Amino acid sequence: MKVAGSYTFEAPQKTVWEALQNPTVLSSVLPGCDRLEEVGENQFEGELNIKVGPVQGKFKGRVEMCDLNEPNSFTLKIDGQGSTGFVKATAKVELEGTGESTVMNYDSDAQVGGRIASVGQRLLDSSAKAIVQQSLQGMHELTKVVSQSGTEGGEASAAVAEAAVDFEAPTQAEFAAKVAKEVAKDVVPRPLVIGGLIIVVLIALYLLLF
Amino acid sequence: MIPAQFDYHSPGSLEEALSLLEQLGDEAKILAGGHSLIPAMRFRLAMPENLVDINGLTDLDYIREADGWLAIGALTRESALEESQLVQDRYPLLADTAEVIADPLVRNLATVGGNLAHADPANDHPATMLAYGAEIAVQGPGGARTILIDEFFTGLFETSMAANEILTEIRIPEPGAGSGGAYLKVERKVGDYAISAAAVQLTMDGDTCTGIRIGLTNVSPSPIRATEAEKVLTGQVLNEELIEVAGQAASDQSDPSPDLRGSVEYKRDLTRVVTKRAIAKAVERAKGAAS
Amino acid sequence: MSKHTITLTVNGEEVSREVEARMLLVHFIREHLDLTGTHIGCDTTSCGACTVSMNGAAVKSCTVFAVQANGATLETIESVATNGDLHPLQEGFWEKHGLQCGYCTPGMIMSARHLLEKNNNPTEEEIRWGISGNLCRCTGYNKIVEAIQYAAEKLQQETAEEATQ
Repeated sequence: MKVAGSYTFEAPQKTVWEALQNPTVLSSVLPGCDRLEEVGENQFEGELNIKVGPVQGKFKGRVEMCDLNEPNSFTLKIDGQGSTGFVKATAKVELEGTGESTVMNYDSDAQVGGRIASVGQRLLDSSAKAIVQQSLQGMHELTKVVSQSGTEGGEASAAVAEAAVDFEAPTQAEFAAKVAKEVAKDVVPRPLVIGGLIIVVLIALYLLLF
Repeated sequence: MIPAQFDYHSPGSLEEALSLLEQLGDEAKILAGGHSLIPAMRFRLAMPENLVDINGLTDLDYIREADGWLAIGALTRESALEESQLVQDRYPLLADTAEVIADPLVRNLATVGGNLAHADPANDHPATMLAYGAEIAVQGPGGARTILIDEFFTGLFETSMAANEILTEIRIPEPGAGSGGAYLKVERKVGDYAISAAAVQLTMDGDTCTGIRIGLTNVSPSPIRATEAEKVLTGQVLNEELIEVAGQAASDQSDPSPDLRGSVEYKRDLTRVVTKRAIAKAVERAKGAAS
Repeated sequence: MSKHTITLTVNGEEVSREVEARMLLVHFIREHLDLTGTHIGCDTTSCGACTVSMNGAAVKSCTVFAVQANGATLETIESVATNGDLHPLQEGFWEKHGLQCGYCTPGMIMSARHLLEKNNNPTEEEIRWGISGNLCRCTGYNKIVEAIQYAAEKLQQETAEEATQ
């Protein structure tokens, strides 16, 4: 199946790109993320516990970033397995920055198999869209705050923390708060949050597809 | 497969059920008809740790008209709707809908409340309740509240109910003179989910449509009203050309996902057709009921 | 994790057993009660081979937990014949060749019985509608419909005869 679209972030392109590298940020941002570790250069391994309505599943997987063309584009290769099925996906991500905002275009091809693909076939597409939307919205709110706060370090983190607490993703109120906590803890500079979104979207997709 | 293990609770009253939900939190699911939940559990796609069986709350099983509303208890079985003379006579849109939900065996257990609370975009009642402009009564630890149907569905499998609330009643405003309604569902085989379906409830004054609401089934991540189509027809003299325009508007507003039931293009065009035909049927019934 | 003792009336007899909460009613009937006339034909609540009568309504027992049947009155296909005499439905399936492999038949009969209890003179369309929750892979349904029509006629005759006695 194909999952494609674009999203605009209110942050400069370079900061969006730079943000891609921090697994701590990502693990706070990904819905139901129990673990996300960098295991090699541009390689991540993680565990996610994702819920759509009454259906939920735990998934383990690898995500590899390749064809890095800093700061414009890269390709993600996703390979995930769960008790409910598996997914293999390739996603191309392109960033187009103009001043203080960046348009992210994503285009991915995913192969889904296993129980979730057969029993849940009718929901794969809409579930993918729903999770992508939630992740993008969540990240966007946070990045807007960071961008607008105009400061680095502690103050930026505090602003993000506040925004994250107020912002409620429809099904995952908790992950937004968690992001705030993690971001505040690490005193992460604002750009990292944005880049996390891109990975979130794609990993969330794979998760969603189980 | 065999479902994963869980703890089973069978409260005897609404208060008991609410307090159980409060206690058990996130890991509890309500069991009513169970014909969406149990199939998911049998595949271990859903594995709630606790089930709160509300089938014992038998005073939530009723259909009655009072004070200008049709009140349906949340635990009312679909088969009861099908067999209700009151519904057949005065709420044809609802009667049309109840008949095409799954199959007769499922309808003996499936509940109206469950169909709405589960918020599966493929369920049939959401579109119908949107077309009726229904109200949903829920109860929580803080007391009872009413949610307008336009604010009820918020996303894929999501409603504006809180996790610790229970849906207790559905209220449909009594249709006035010149009202008509129809539900038209196209499915691959009997008992299936819709490829596309349209619920229409309208009022006619001669040949003029004075009010109309249209709900669409299974052509968007969350049940939607075809508001653009409604705008085309409200206050207008209805004729075939205008209804065709409305059908197209509904099609354009829909956002179907491709799956084994059809491609985006097919579902979109089918939406146009079922909307048109449901409108035509509703008009026919409205004119027949003009009094 | 929870185990429950359930007590229910099955085919006229009271039974009491301890079951896990997650045990499906169809498994309870087949494995705990040795009533294997009720069949499992799918995994998706589609086929109706598991149809039983619970509190007077025909339901798919694969989509009900046994614990939900606590205090209920259950009837399975084994209860349809009385004292060894075939019910008109069973006779109809025999006379009209309403079965080939027989796998869907118990479910068909339980659904048809429920239909005829609510509507003793169904049209062909009403019969087809009434059994639309039961799938058959062998017969193409026509002989099943004829079997039910046979039974409807026979039941009406019997009622008429009883009335004149």
